[in-house]
Amino acid sequence: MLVIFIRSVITFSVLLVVMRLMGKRQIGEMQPFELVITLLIAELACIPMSDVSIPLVYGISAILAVFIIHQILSTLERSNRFFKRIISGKPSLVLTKEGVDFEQLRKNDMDVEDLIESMRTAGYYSLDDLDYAIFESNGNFSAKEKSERSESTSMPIILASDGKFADKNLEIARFDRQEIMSTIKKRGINSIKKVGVMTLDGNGKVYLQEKGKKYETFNVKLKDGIQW
Amino acid sequence: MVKSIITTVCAILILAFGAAYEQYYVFRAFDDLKEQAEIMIEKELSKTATYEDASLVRNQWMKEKRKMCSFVSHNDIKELDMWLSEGVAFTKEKNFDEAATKYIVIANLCESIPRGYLIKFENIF
Repeated sequence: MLVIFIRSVITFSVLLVVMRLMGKRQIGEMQPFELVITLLIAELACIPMSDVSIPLVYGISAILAVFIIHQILSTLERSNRFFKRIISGKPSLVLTKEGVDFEQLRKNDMDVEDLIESMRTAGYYSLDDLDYAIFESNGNFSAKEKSERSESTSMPIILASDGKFADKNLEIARFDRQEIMSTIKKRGINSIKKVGVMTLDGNGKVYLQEKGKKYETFNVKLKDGIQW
Repeated sequence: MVKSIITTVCAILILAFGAAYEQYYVFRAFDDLKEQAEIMIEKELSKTATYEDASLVRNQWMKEKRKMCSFVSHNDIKELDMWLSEGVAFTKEKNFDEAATKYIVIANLCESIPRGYLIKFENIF
């Protein structure tokens, strides 16, 4: 029984560390340790139930062990901010009035496309629509809308992100790499590698952010007949 | 808060008492069986073992194993059942050498199975 208890503690700890390392994308609405418990409990309850060669006490003691760990972690989390940060992590502010925080995205194993996807799920289609965007410690996405949000009917597409061109989207917008380069050079960015994100909507509005700097928006003239 | 502390303490106590009882009970039960197996080995080697002696050991084990199923892997119990049955059968046929080897295996199993319940590096990993 003690051996099973220790094995449960070890498995739990390893799973928790792995879930924390994997970042918020792997988590639903639960805190990381709650997800670990859900994963473990299902198996712990299932195996001794289905395998008659295993005494049921083994499963019960392992579940009791997980319960004890849960109670201890919950108490630690409630009583101390430091433990709360270690056990459940902290919210990540990935978008501010300055633009996208690429470092925070990287820490959560995400890129700009993941952020835009989460924004779309929340009903926002342009990076310019929000003042703040946060990935909560339970994996939820929270957003603070801009007060002067434009009601654009055109969805922005990514022309470049994380220092790379999005060639398919360049085709849609009928821009080539040289045109993008000359546009960003006019804005003081001399290499595509320095571009954190560049989007363009169907009205010609560009959202451009150099890595580590504040974003800017400006308009470009779209070629005739281009619409999306 | 008080409720969670009480439930946590209760769960810890259940586990602690359960673990202590398991350690005590499993070791005592296997020690008893090992002692009986060693007596049988001596009797088999001196060719004085009888079918009644072997049956007594097996019946004793049958009573014990009903409780043991809660703590010990059922496969381990089945293995002991098998060796004991063979020991009884060889004793009945007065094949003392074969019967002695079966009881030697049982004595070894009685040493090795409880070792699997100790808090040791090889048991945890």
